[in-house]
Amino acid sequence: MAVSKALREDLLASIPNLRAFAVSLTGSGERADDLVQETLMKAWAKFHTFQEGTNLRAWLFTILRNEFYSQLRKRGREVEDAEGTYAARLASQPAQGGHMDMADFREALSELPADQREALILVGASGFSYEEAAAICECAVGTIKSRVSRARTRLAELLELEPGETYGADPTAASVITRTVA
Amino acid sequence: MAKTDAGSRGRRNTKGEKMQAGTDARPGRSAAPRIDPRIQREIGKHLRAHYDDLVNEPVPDKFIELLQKLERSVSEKSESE
Repeated sequence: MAVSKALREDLLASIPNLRAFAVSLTGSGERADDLVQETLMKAWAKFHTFQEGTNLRAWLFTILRNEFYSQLRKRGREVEDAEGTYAARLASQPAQGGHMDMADFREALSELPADQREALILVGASGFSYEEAAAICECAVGTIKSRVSRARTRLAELLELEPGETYGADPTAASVITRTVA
Repeated sequence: MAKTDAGSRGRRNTKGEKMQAGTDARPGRSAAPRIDPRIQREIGKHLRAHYDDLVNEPVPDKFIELLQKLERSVSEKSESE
């Protein structure tokens, strides 16, 4: 079966997003790449079932997510060992753009229950609508909304954010500036 | 009157799943309390920064090679047909 050039290019362009989602699911860069590879092969094999003009990215995310959970079922729970490794590597990278607290944020994110983290990433970062996220996760729209809402609340708790307080706000930045000046 | 409430909740469940607290489609009625919009914005900002870091990582060559391999296998197949 021939895959059109346009579709092939869209597939290529989707890889960074697929990897980002895969890392969010697996917590491991290496495992994420295996997952993306598997997703690309699956997608290629069943491109004839894809309706051109519909959302390719959502289609690919669905394949990737299904693959992740089927691998998880096959492997059992050994996945846990990789948890946090990738997040830790990211956290060790220098802070950028004044995000003094990205390391804390990533740690809090990794502590969320998997279904909440997944929903939050899909809606809050990958740019999917609640409806698209629900289709990807094969659940009701209300379930996605609830997971996203719980994820936000839990993050706020983990990061000890109180109403009126701005996260990553001036106290830290101010002290850094003071130190730099001094 | 509590029964009426349970009944109306049940009807909203489109998938016929067992209805649980927090699966309500309306955000205002979800189990989690509403959070401060400013906090929500901060979380959103950090979430996108985190995700963008991942998206901006260079794509390993192995994926491009894989796609080329898949493409070759298709053209070889169609040639032999």
